[in-house]
Parts: sequence; C-alpha cells; structure tokens
Amino acid sequence: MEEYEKYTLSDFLEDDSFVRWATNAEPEANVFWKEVIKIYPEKEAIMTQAVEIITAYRSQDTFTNEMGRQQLWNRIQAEITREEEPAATRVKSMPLYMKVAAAASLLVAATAVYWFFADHRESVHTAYNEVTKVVLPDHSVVTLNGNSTLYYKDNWTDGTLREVWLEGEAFFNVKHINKDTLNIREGERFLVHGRDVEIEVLGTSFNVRDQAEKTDVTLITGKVKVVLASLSKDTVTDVIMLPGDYAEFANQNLIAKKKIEKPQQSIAWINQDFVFTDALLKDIVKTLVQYHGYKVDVKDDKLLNLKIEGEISVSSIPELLATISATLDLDVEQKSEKHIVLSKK
Amino acid sequence: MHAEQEQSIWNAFKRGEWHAYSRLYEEYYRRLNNYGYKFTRDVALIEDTIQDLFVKLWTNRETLSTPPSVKNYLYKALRHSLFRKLKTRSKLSFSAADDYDYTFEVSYDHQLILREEQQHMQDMIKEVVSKLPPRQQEIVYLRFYEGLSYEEVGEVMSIHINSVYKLWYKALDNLKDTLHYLVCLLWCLCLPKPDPAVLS
Repeated sequence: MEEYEKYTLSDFLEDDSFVRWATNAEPEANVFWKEVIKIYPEKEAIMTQAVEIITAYRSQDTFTNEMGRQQLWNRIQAEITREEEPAATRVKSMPLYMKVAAAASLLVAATAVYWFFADHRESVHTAYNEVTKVVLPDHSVVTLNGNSTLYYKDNWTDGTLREVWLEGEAFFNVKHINKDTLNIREGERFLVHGRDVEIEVLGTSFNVRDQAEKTDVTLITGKVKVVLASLSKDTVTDVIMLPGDYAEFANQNLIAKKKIEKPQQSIAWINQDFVFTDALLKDIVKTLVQYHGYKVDVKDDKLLNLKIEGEISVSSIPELLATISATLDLDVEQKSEKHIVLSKK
Repeated sequence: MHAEQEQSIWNAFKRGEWHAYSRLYEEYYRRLNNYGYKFTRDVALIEDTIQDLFVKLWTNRETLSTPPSVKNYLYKALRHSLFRKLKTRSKLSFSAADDYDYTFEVSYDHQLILREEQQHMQDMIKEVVSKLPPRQQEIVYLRFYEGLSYEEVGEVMSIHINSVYKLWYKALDNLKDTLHYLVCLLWCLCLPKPDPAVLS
C-alpha cells in the first residue's frame, strides 16, 4: 500500500484497481480505498479529484436503442430457426421450432415450366381470372388463381409422400398430419414441384405463382424448405424460409432474400377477386363478360360511362352487383344465372 | 452481473439452454448498442452486427470457450465484426485488419444539469477528449467508462498490452495540461468536501 504515498492525480487515473473502483465496476473495493485514505489522509483530496474527473467523463450519453430490442430479438430467433434443420428428417430439439405455427404462405414463380408427366396424373386448369378450389385426396385445399394448372397423382396412399406439380399461382392449405416433429414419416411430408424449386412443408398454407424470368417465394407464417433442384444432384441447395421472408430464385440460384412488412398482401387475390379503383361501369361489365362468362345487357349505352369513385374490393359477383346497384342507382335484373340486365331505376 | 453469475449463465447457454441465451441478450443488448454507437451512428448496421454476433454465438455454442469476462468477449466480437462491416461499406481502406480507419465519438448532448463546477469540468474533459485520436479516445472510454484494466483493453481492442500503455500515456499526455488546469481549478474553486457517497 506504500506506493500510494507518492501517487499523483495521473497515477491514480492510471491505476487499474482505482479506475475499476471509481467506475463502480468493483463496489467491493470500497473497504480497501477507505483504508488507503485512512493511512494517507493527505491523498483524499487528490483521489476525490480523480473520481470527479472520471465521473464527469462518465456522465456522457448512453445509446440504449430500446426501441429496437424486441424486433432485433425476433430477427435473431428467426435466423436461428432458419439455420436449424428443416422440417424434414434431422430436426434437433429446438424450442423455437416447436412453436412455429403450421401455417405458411409462399409465392413461387418458375421461369418456364416443363414437367415430367407421370402416367396417372390428375390436372386442374383454370381460365383467366377464374379462381377454383381443389380438394386433394388428403383433404388439403388448393386455391388456384386464373390461368394456372395443378397436377397431382390420382392414387394417394397413406404413408407415401404427398406431392403436386404447379404451373401458375395457387394458395395451398396443407393438412398437417405430423404430430411429432422429431420423427417425420414420409407420408407426413408435402412437396410442391416447380421447375427450379421444390417447396417442402409438413402442414401449412402457402401461395405459389409463376413469373416469366424468376421464382418468387413469400412466406406468411410457418416454415418451409425451398430446395433448388439443380440438374447435377451434388449441388442441391436448401433455403429455409420463415414468416415474412421473401425470396427470389432464378436459374436455380437464390438471387434475393429479404423480410417484407405485409406478406399477407401476396395472397390478397384470394379474398379480393374484384378490385376496382375509380372504375367506369364498362370496365366492370368487361370483367364480368371476359373473365366470368357473363352476358350483360345495358339499356342505355350512356350508363357505361358512369364512374364509381374510390375503391371497390369485394369477393363475389353478387356483392359486386349489389355495389353497382347501390352506388350508381341502377336496377340489376337477373335473367338467368349468368345473364343480367342493367337499367336506370 | 457478477462474474460467477455471468459464468453460470454462459455455461448454461453453452449447454444449449435457450433461457440462458436470451438472458445474455437481455443483459448485453444495451451495452453492445452503446459501444457500437461510439463507432458509427448507423443504427441498422449496429443491429445487423449484434444479430450476426448472437446468431453465431448460438450456432457455435458447443465449440466456444469460456472467456474470463463474457462482456469483454462480446465487446471484442462486436468491435471486430462492426469494423469489418464498416470497412466493407466504405471500400476505401485496403489496409490490414488492425490498421482500420475508424472514428470514436462520445456525446454529451442529453446530459442532466450538473453542478456548475461539474459542468465546467465536463466541458473541459469533453473538449480535450474529443481532440484525441480515435484509438486514444477508445482507451479512455474503455478505462473510464467501462472500467477495464490495461490488459482487458488490449484484449477488447486486439492489441498488445504495451500498445495499450503507449496509447494510454499519449492520451494522458494530451490530457495532462487540462488535468493540471483542472487541479488548480478544483483547488481554487475550493472543491466541495469529498463527496461522502463517492468515498464511503
């Protein structure tokens, strides 16, 4: 302890244990420094100054970023879950994974579509703007958007892999069979084939769409594995996606990946079949005729130029007709199932 | 957090206990943000770095050693990773890893009202510290704010302890005139009696 007898202000500031104590890193040292003051009372003033200097320096701003705390933690959890083994075979015990909801949505587009047609295959094709629901043998439901085709084997047996092939866009609601995520049997897996990618899930809901030059995947909830099926088997790459993930694939490569704010918007087409903004009556009539096979008679051609201000977003034709009738003050006469007559009230 | 407590949480985390891992995040989130903020005002970049750091921790938990101080270990890792990111972004520097071109900035913008003489002292310190080269500023920070020893400073900054001494004395040399002035000032102003809270 003698050394403190000759200590100057700088000496104290250089002393590790003094600094530790003065920065409150070591409150236990109080006893020791009180002892030093007792022995060298003449040092008390200088020690106080040293403490004051350190304290003044320390009274600086602290950047806490509390706003970002929860969000960053979510991101960390999501990335860890993504890096863990996929829903397939080698799942390790992982608290997060268990919590993952069995619902997902993703959006896939394939460059061009070529299919190896198996012999026994069912197919469902939709016309433009036609939305059709297909119930698969396992009771999974596929909602097909317009101009899309879904292929699936006609003989589904328990215990075999469930797989479908898709051209276009579809929303899948896959029946969840697996109960034990640590032990996944073949029949509990569900596979969607695209040209460049395969999407593997356990039980979830997701959306798949075609675009000319790339494949887009958007996951809303849950977790899926996208396998980039390169022609040479040894270069297969997996991309695990989590809620809110958006990814683009082209030429069997992952070309972009990011989180999106409102992934639900990617499946808005399902519930909002009829979305018009500041539409003229003739636009609406055209849609009914061209995409839905309606016959529409309009008593006065002038009516066709009537405008509905704002946005219409309805999910069925009866709703659409009711909206037209109310806002434009028209009579809608239903001649037959798909034949209507519009006239001024 | 006490050293033993820190160690036991670290060991639980290494065994794969999720609650221990999230505890580490809770404990160090603020400190890491605060430290990172001294190097850059790009909050997104700091967050990305913390994310990478924690994901890596979890992924490599089984192979990690048990550091003497978890805090210093995380500081070091954050610093290293943040510099790499800053470097990549600026693309200006092609120098070796320890020859980075960084800034270190402490701010006093949102301080509470201090006693007059405290305010005066703070102004002086702020003035003189802000003129130090970044590395010297960082040492002052790690010592006076984080309370690290020379050895720990060397550890966090990945430099030899002799370099720490050298940098520290340079910093202190730069501070000395001010310190002398401060000493006089404190005497002249008849510095209030030692604060019992400080020395009790």
